[in-house]
Amino acid sequence: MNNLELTDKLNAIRNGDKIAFEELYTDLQTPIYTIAYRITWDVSSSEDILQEVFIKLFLSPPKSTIKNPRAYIFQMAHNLAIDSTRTQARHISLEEIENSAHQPLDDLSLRMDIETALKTLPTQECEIVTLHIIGELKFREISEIMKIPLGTVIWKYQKAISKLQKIITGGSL
Amino acid sequence: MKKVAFVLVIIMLVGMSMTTYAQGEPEADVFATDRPTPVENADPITDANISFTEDVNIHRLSDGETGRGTIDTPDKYWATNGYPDNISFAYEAGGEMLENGTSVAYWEIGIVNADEASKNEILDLLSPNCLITFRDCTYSYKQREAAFNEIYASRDAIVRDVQMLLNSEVVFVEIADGYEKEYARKYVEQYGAFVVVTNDIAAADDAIAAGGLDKGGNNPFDFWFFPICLFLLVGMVTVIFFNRNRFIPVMQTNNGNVITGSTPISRKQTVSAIKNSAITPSNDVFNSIVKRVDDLRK
Repeated sequence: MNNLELTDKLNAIRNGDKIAFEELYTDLQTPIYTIAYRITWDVSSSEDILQEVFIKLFLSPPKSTIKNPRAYIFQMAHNLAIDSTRTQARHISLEEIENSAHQPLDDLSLRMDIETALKTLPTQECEIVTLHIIGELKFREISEIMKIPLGTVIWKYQKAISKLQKIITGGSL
Repeated sequence: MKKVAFVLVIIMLVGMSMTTYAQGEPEADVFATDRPTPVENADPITDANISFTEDVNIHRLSDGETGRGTIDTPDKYWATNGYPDNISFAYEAGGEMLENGTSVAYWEIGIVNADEASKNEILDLLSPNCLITFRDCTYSYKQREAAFNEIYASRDAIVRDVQMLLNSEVVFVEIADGYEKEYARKYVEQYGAFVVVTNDIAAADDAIAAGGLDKGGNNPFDFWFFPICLFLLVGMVTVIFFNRNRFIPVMQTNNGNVITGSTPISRKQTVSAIKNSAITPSNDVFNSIVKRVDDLRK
């Protein structure tokens, strides 16, 4: 669903169109849920975030003047996920959360999937990869959502893909 | 256990040999590959009249022209097949993953007396994965290499070190204090303005970018010794690692496709695997949303 179609759907939702809401949910549930999950790594929190995003969209959809509703919706999901992570780990600073790498599984003989490989990335890199590939956002939009320079986004993305490529090929984990 | 001990002793011996070799070759620094632009801050010490200036070097001709041939890495291609007379340098200055999942590498290629024909020749050689920026240069790779080899062979108490860059048309020479102007004049007259004299090549290193080239000399033994040692060391460590861990790198994507460690995975396949790893929430979530919305509206 491109931005034009999204704007149409949001206008319809503003007029109480439940079918448009369901279509919007069907289209965006997977990327939003995946992004929430890749930030929180928690099914329950991700479901809560997904619910929160869509309830907000239904009750107060963004104004039709917003040029990029897709980025707006992902911004909302990103902020809620970061808030959720903050609540879960109050004793850890946000910077530590964003930069901390998830530890790989101890038992290397287990069959590993891309999800496990993604868990080895620092949260920020994992988020950029997910927003770009699954959320289909442009680097510039990701840069605005995450409030980091465009160059950093591109650099971290390249770095993350190289790492994942290495891991999947069997280079390290 | 005895086998492991034996292998460890060999590793130690190889390691010691490599250390000794490295100590005997003071110019064997390897430049980092992610440093910023070269030369601009290098502050070469030369006579003003004959010093290297940026005017001599790197005039940008074009931005991001796509290749039409098959070669992905021109630097390796030319290193193997010999640099053409009109090429000064070729280096990879970054890259990008495009929206369609294709990766593109940015190549900076210096051409001597560049014209459309020589640009087209390169575009025909390089693959569409290369986005090429051409730069107009004065000195060819071969010319610089010849100068490098001669200066390298003439190293003594005054001519301490020499390094040739792969990302610009510069050859740095470290000269002892007090002799800089004399040697700068001599080298420029003898070779051309691409020879830049400094009295501290290590300081210049900090300003040298991606493609700093270290040439360890012309002795074939020197050339092969380090890679052979490294190869043996890596091989032994790999054997030990796999034996000890009984690790078989087999992975499975979320779609159930099994990928073995022996299969090289491209960036495109990696991106595709990530795309396929998207997670769909349970159906209950939507029902829950609708219920909550209805509750809130009441």
